[in-house]
Amino acid sequence: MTVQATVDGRVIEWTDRKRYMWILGAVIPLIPMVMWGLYAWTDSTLAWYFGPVFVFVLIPLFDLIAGLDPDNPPDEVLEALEEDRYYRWVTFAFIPLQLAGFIWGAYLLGGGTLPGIEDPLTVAQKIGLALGLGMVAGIGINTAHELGHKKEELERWFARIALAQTFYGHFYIEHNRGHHVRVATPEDPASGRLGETVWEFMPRTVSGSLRSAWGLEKKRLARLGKKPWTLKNDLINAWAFSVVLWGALTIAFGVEILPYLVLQGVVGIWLLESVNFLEHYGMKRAKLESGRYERVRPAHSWNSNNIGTNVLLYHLQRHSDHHANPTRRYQALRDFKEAPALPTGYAGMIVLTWLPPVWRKVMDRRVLDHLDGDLERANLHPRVAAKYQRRYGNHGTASTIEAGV
Amino acid sequence: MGAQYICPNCEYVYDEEKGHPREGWPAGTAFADIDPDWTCPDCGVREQVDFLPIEQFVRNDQDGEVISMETRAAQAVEQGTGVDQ
Repeated sequence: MTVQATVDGRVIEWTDRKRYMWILGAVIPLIPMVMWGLYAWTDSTLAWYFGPVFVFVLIPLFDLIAGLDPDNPPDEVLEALEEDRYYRWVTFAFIPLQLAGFIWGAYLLGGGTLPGIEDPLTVAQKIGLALGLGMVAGIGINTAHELGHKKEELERWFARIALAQTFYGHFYIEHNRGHHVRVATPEDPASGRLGETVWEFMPRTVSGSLRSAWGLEKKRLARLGKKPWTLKNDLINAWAFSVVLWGALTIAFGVEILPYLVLQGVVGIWLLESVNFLEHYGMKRAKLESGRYERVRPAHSWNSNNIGTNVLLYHLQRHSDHHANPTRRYQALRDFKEAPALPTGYAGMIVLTWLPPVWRKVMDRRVLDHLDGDLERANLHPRVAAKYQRRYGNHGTASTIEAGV
Repeated sequence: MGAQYICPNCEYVYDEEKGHPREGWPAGTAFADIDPDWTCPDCGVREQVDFLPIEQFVRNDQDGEVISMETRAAQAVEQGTGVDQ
């Protein structure tokens, strides 16, 4: 289908080649159904481990094979493209499917049986199932991210529902009012630093984001003359969704499902925070004389045009445009030529984060190249600061890094 | 109608008459009384000091025409005009 806009009497047309591919985003919550089918077919415990295989093997392979999609909508049609309600229905579809998959999973974790699943699952099978639910939960945070940035109240409530599965309701506040304000600065808990490992980043981002979110709401409520312990606190009302959801499932399927609910929640949060780690790895905004940081520029986010991950994550990888225009809808996000690009999609890059030496080998050279070898312009992790200064400081150029010094 | 101020990124409008009670600015709160580091409630990436009186607003800065407080000050110096231009 073609979008049209008339500017100064000229008619401009553009066809979104990805229009129907966006429906694939709603395929993610069907991962549990695939596990069911695979198990019924093969009777193998491995079938329950389909979730991580899909995210960390199949998507990265697809990205490598399918290649890049640099197609940008022209500026003139952006407004018409955003107005097209089809695109928001695609994101709404994710939510009932996510909830259905979660309830179905909780039923099996509680020892339930179904056609093709004649006996209650073993512990090994339940762990696999919980990992798969966690993959959906983590990608659900991405759906919540898309919805939570919008101006319409309905979409903001949908965001809270999508976050209920991971107990991560405070993300919606912290991301919009905390992360976007401080992105690519040493003060942001959710921006990865040069030389930091993902294992160090996790506790820093999880605890720092929670503290920051609480502080933001406390400040807002104080202006209203209220204490933070109220249902009017957006953190508390978002967590209330999780209490209701997890509580209902525990009552229905037994308290033995709780450890698995925790496991899938941790996995979901891990997936989301891994993406936070890499999106701004090493990037730092300069401080202006006024004491504020310079505006977020396209140069401050890592991007990827790999079509597989982009379709499944609603263009999250066109991250520079997202930070320039946070309320812009996913279908209208553009690729900026001046923005740094990752060697592959986010899914494959997450796998690299697991092995910090490999991650550094791939990424540190790219960070330094992007900054013209100037370590001063990097968001450098304090733990490695002295080492990096010695290695790359002053005359540190991309070529010395290339040589593997 | 009270004075109106617009977010140059996402075009959220602060109307002094209505205020923004949820954010802690009751109806009638003058824009000048709002914290300078208060962020736009919709996009989060522009602060009170970046907002423009709606009469001065031409187009949003979403397509790279960045209108920050600092940019406006620099333009004013270049043009030799007042800081409010």
